[in-house]
Amino acid sequence: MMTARQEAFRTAYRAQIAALYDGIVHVALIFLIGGAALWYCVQNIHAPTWLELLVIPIVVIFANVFEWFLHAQVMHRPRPGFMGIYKRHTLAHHQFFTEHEPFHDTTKDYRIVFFPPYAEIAFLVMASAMAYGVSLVWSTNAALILVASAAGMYMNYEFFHWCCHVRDDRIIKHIPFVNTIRRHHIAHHDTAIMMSRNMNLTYPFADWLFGTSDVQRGLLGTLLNGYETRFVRKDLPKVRSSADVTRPAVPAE
Amino acid sequence: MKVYEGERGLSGAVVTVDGEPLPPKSEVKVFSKMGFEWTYVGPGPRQLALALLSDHLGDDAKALALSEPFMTAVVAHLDNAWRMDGAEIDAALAAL
Ligand SMILES: [Zn+2]
Ligand SMILES: [Zn+2]
Repeated sequence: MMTARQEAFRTAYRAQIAALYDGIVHVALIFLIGGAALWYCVQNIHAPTWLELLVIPIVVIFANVFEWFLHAQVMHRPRPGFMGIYKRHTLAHHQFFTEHEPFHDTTKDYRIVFFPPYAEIAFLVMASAMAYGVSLVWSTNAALILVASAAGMYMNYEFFHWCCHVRDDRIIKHIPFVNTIRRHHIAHHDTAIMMSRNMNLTYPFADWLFGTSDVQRGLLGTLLNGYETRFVRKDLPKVRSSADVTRPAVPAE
Repeated sequence: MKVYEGERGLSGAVVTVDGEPLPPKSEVKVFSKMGFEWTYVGPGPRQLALALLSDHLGDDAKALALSEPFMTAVVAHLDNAWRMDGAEIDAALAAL
């Protein structure tokens, strides 16, 4: 159920989307850039050793902690030099999508679901700078595996986040990890916990590690929780003094 | 009785008192140079707690002394859009 405030925000946000904006082109660009980086790297990796392949899990864990940190400390905090990302996320994405109505309606709404493509380019430039260092002290293979893994994780992030905000869950709800992150992220859209809990958007590993998940389970249980609500903490805060007069009294299941 | 309102939106995290922008009270103490925020414990919410109490109590020293517990008990739990009047602030202060 959508509150009047959320509805008004959606109308105002949609009104300022450029007429030329095309959601499909936006998504295509993201996966074209990421896919091209991944393809280029994979094409140029030659006979990697097991040690070099170990870069993949290291990047996956590093990217997971980075995503958690960026979401918690930049996207949800006003910080000098990073106000754009905070405004886009806390002041827009979280007003457009709430835990009561977390779904987009048309591909025009992709404007507020996916990061702009320059964010992906910035991420890949950062990964490439690290990879350059790795190539100097270790090997070209390790450097290429690093960039390929980073590109893969970025596309994983965007795809999983889309899965959280798409209305139709007939397939998604049966896919391990995707169903977990969908419940995890929709819960994060509850204003009471959005500034402090459920900061992962791929696999809730860092949320488990740093104790910021809204579920109280072991690592495997947290990663494969799916839609299960039995383990949701009982001590989560509630908002007060709400001016959202039509805020639903009972959170939707 | 004064009415304090806050709302996150496209124009920022805006706080008003009787419809006018709430002064941040930076001359008393600067906790945050990035403006007001709420629903967590941190510099932005601390600045908001000070500004609200200073305006409501009319006593900067008392407002500063009470800002930390008021932030933790009240400001850290405010909704995206919130509304409080003086009576609600008094009740929250009495419950600290
Ligand atoms: Zn989201
Ligand atoms: Zn968020």
